[in-house]
Amino acid sequence: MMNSTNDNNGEDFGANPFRSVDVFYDESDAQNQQQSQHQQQQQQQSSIPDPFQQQQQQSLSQPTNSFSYPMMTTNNNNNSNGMMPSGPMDNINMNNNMNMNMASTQQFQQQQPAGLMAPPPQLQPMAQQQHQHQQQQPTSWWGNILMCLNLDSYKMYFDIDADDIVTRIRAVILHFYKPEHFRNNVVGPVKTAELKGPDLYGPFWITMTLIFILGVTANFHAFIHHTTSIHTGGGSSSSSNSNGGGNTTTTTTTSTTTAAEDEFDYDINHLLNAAYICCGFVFVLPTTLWITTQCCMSMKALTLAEWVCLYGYSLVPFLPVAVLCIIPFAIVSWVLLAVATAVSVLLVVRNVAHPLLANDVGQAKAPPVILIILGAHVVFFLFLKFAFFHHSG
Amino acid sequence: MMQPNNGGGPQWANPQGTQQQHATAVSLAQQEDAFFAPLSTLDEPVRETIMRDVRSVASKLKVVLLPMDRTIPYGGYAGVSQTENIELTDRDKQIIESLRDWDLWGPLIVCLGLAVLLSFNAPVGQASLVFATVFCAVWLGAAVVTINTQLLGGTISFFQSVCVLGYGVFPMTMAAVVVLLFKMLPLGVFSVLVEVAVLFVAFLWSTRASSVFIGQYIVASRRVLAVFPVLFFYTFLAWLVLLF
Repeated sequence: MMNSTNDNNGEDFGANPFRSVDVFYDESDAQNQQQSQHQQQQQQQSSIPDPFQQQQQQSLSQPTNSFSYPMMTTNNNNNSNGMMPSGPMDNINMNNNMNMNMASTQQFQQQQPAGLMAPPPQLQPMAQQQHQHQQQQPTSWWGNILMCLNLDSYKMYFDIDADDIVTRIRAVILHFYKPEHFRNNVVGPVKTAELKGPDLYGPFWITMTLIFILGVTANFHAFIHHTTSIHTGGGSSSSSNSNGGGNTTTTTTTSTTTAAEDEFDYDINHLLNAAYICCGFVFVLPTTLWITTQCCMSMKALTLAEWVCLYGYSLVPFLPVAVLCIIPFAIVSWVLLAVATAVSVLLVVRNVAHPLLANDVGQAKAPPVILIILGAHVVFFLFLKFAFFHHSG
Repeated sequence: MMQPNNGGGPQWANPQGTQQQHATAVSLAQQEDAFFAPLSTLDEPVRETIMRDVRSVASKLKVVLLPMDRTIPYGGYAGVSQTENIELTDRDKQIIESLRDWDLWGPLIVCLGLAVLLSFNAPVGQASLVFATVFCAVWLGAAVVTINTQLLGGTISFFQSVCVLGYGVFPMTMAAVVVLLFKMLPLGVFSVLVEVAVLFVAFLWSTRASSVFIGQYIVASRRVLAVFPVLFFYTFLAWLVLLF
C-alpha cells in the first residue's frame, strides 16, 4: 500500500532521467538465457519490460544487477535499466507475462511509438489485468515532462524506513573510506530484496537541515565575533546575551561606545547563500556530472538517483562541523571544515571511481571526472569557510 | 456527526443545530426539506451559516490547543466538549476526529494573524517583505511537508495535512503575541531568554499536535521520517518569529 504505483516499466529513453544502463549487465548471464527468446521478441517491439520475470529469477539467486530491459527500436541505446521495480510488482499477476508476449507477437508490426498521452498499444491488454493503476508509459517528450511532474514517479525513491536512514548515515560516518562499501553494501545500486537502492529522502532533508544550521550558526559566529570585538576593541559593554538570533541585542553599556556600534544586525543573506550553495552542491552538481558521464562521455556508470544520493549523504559530516564552527577561532573552523571535506570527498570518490573506471571508455575519461569531483569539493569547502565563518581582522 | 434527529427529514438534512428551532414545523415543510435536502440551508439566517463555520474553526483551534494535557482524562474536559467530537476514549483520537473534516479558513486566519503580527515590528520599509516571507513560509512549508508525507506512502490527503499543519501554527501565533509584548518591555537580556523559552514551548506544542495527527496515517516504521519535517517546519517558524 505504501507504493501505490510503479512507474519503472517505462523503458523510454530520456523518459526518466534517474535511469541508466546498468554497467553490470551481462548478456551471458545464466539467468537470462531462459528468457532470452521472450526477451528477444520483446526487445524488438515492446516498450514494456517484464521486470517481474527477472525479479523472480533474482529472488532465487543473489541479487545482482544483471537483468535486461527490452530495447526500443527507435533508439540505439542499450538501455538496460538498472532500476529494480518497487513493491507494487508483487501485485502483478503471472498472466501478464503470457498476455504480453501474445500481445507483442500480435503487434509485432506496430513499431511506431504511441500518441501523445495514449498508452502504447501493448499496454492495453495488460492494463485490464493489472490490479492497480499503472502509469502510462510516455513515449514523447511532453509525456516525459508530465511524468516528471507527477508525484508517483518519485515514490520509489522514498520507499525507505527510518532504520534505513539511520543505517545510511552511520555508514557515512563509519565506513566512508571503504571502497564501494556505501554504494554496494549500504545503499545498493538498484532496488533489490535486501538493499533499498538510492533514496531521495536523505539527500533532500540533510540538505535542508544543513542550510538551516548554516544560516543559524553563521549568524551566531558573527554575533560572537561582534561581541568579542566590542569587548576587546572599544568599550566594556556588558552585553551578555547568549542568544545571537535576535534582531537587536539589548546591551546595557556602561562605557562610551555608541549605540549604533552595539547593534548586531542579523544577516538573512547567510541563509540564502547557504541555500544556493548547498542546493547547487547536492542537486545541480551531480546532475551535471551525470549528464557529462552519461551523455557526453557515454559512460554508463551511476544513475542520476545514485549521484544525488551520494552527494546528499556526503553532506552528513558537515552537519556537526557547522555547529562546532561557532567557536570563534579561525584555526578551529579551518581544521574542522577540512576534516569534513576530506570525509565527504572520500565517500564520493571511493564510491564513484570504480563504476566510472569499469568500462573501456571510462579508463580514459574517468580521471578528469574524478578530478572535477575533487575540485568541486575543495571549492565547496572554501565557499563554506569564506562565506559563513570568516571575519577579517 | 451524530445529531439527534428532531423529527422528520433524514439525518444529513439537519446541519447541527439549525433545524432544531423548526421542530414544530408542519409536515409539508419537513417534506419539502427532505426533498430539497441539500438546499435546506438556504432558509437559515446568514448569521447561522457563518457561525457554523466559525464554530467549526473554533472547535478545531481548541482541539489543537489542548493536546499538551495528556494526563487529564476525558472527564476533565467535560466543559470543552464540542459537537463534532463525541470521542470518549483517547485525547489523541479526539484530535484526529475533529481535524478530519478539514477546512482552510482556520489556517488562513492563523497564518494571516502571524504574518501581520510579525510585520508590525518590522522596520518601516520592510513590513510587506516580512509579511510576504512569513506567509509564503507557512504555506510552502506546509506543502513541502505534506508532499513528503505522501511520498513516504502516507494515506493522508493533501489538504487534510495542510489544514493540520496550518492549525498547528496557532500556538506559534500566540507565542508571537507574547514575544511582541516582551519586546516592548524594557527588560534587557531577560526578555530574550523569555522569548526563547516561550517559543520553545510553543514549538513543542505545535509539533505535538501536528505529529499526533500525521503519524496516524503513516506506517510505524516511517513515522519518524514524516515527523522530522514537521519538526523542522515549526523550528523554522519559531526562528522566524524570533528573528522578526
